[in-house]
This record gives sequence, C-alpha cells and structure tokens, in this order.
Amino acid sequence: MDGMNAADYLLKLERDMTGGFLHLLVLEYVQRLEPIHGYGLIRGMEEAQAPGQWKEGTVYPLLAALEKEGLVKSRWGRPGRGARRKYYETTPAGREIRDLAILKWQRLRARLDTILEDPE
Amino acid sequence: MNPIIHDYLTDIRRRLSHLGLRERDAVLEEIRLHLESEVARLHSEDTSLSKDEAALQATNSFGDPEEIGVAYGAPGGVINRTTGEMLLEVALLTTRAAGRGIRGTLKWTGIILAIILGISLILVLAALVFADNVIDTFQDDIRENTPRPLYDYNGEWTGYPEAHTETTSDSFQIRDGMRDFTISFDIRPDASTAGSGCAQIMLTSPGGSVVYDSGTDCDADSRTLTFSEKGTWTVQYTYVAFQGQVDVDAYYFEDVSRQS
Repeated sequence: MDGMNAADYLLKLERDMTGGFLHLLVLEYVQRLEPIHGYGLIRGMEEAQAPGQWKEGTVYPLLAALEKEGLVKSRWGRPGRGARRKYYETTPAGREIRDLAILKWQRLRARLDTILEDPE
Repeated sequence: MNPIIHDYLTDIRRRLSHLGLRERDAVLEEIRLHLESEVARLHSEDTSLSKDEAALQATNSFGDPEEIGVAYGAPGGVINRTTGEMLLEVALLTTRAAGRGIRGTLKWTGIILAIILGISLILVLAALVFADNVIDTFQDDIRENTPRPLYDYNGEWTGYPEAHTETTSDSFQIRDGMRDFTISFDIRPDASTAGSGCAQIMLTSPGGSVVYDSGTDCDADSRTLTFSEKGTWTVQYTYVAFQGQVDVDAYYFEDVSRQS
C-alpha cells in the first residue's frame, strides 16, 4: 500500500467505525451508570472493555454534544468530601434515541453481515 | 497543578477558542479533574511512577489536543478563533512586528549614528590637523605682522634754561631675521613759545645714505618710514635751543620665511 501500511489503515478504519457508533456507546453507558461523571464513565467503559478505538478525550466532547442535543443532562456535584464533578444522566429523549439507535444499528449490522458474509 | 497537565490544558484551551469563555472553562475544568484523577490512580497502582510520568501517561491516554478541539466543534485541523482572539493575535503580531520595526530602526539608527560619529571623528581629526596648519599659518602671519620694539627715543624740553642745544647720535641694528622696520619721527616744537629753537633729525642707512632729514627749517614734522636694509642704522639729533617734544619710535617685523 502506498503511503500507509495495512496495520495503520485498519487502525484508521476501526477508529472511523468506532466514531460511527461511539455516540450510541456513550449514551448506553451513561444510562447504565447514571448519574455518572465523565471520569467514572470512562473508567466504566474501560473496565467493560467497550469496543472500538477511542481515546478518553473523545468521550467528553461526545457528552457535550449529547447534552446539546438534549439526550443527556448534567449538573455539578460533589461526591462526599471529594472534588466537585460534573454528573451526567440520560434524558427521556436520550433514552428514546438510545432505543431507536440500537434498533437502527441492529438493522445496519444485519445488512452489513449479509453483504460481507455473502459477497455474491 | 502538574506542569505537564498545565501545558496540556493550555494546548487544549488554544484549540477551544471557538467556544464561549464559560463553556470552555467548564470543559477544561472537567478535563483537569479527569487527568488529576487518572494521575492519582496511575500513581496508586504503581508507586514507582513519578507524578510527571503519571501525568504523561494520563495526557497521552486522553488524546491529541488538536483532535479534542475538533471533537468539540473546532474546524478540522484549523483553529477556529473568536473575533476578539483573532484581533488579539493580530494585535500581538502587529506589536511584535512593530517591535521588530522599532528594534530594526534602533539598530539602523545606531549603525547610522556610529557611522556619523565615525565620520565626524575623522572630520574633527582632519579639522584639527587642518586647524593646526591654519594656526601655524596664522601664527606665522601674526609673527610676521607683529611690530616688535626696535628703538625708542623721547625728549621734552621747555623754556630756558632747559631749552636743548646739542648734537647726539643713536643707532640700532637690523639683523637677519628682521624683515624690515618702521620708524616714526615726531617733532613738536612748543607752539606757545616764540622762537622755540630747532630740532633736526637725520636717519642714515647702513650704506651711509641719509634716508630721512627733518631739515633745518625748525618746523614741526611727523613722518613714518619703512626700510629693510640690514646693518647699523644711525639717528642723529641736532638741537638748537629747542623747546618742545621729540618722539622717535622704531619697530621691526620678523622675517618668518627666513626663520622657517
């Protein structure tokens, strides 16, 4: 391959694919762990071995984007005597979108599987 | 705050300039809390890890500041700045450019001043040399035109029995180095006295020529003459019952050309 070796290309492909479903992944984990702050969410995703090539830093912008869309809401709080944190939880719209997005994903994956498993 | 985290957050801040100040501060605060939590976790898991090493790992895991900026809505690879920040940057660049301009101006001004100073110094030195010559020239001129006393004779006689009757002679030398001399004769018989007598003055050159003779008509006489012949000059005074004043003054001038 010119310019990029196979490993690099596959890594980029995986990142692009992850970017496609990372919104859903974050929304899913917020709903599972809510109310949860960003650091706790990421730690939860890592411990659960959430799939894809993603960096911790990309989760926060996603949370901000989801909040702007009204899919999650946030508030600053202080857990016990610890440092203040920004806590996230899903909104009803977020939960509805999450359900619909899962359906959408399942359909896409099914069609993709069909194509990839049966090229002819 | 750990300096690595501080620098990292500063980098991200630059890439979040498209956000409002409040929103940006909130984002950075959230990231800061995340990184500090991560550093604490990494350090607790591996106590041999220094704070800096932990901070480095934490920031690496968090991601590239540019990608984070893009993820927050900044145009990909291009930093979207607010008008104020752009104006600030333009102002800074302008100030720097102006600074460079001033520095450049100061630098060249310094160089030009140094050149002017150098030229001035050369001119001053040349002027001094020239002035020295000029002074020398003037000195010669001054020397050449300065009258120097050569001979002086004064006599005043009033009525009888003081009225003067005698013949006397004086002399003076004109030597090498004396260009010429000027001699003034002033015979002033006492006009208030009738029959004031006579005073005759004769100047004889070294060659024996009488070059001045006031005469025997006993009148007043005033004369200034210049001569240059070298040798002994003789002045002869002849008084016959003379009442009045006689002044003779001679001045010589140096012969500078001969001396130099």
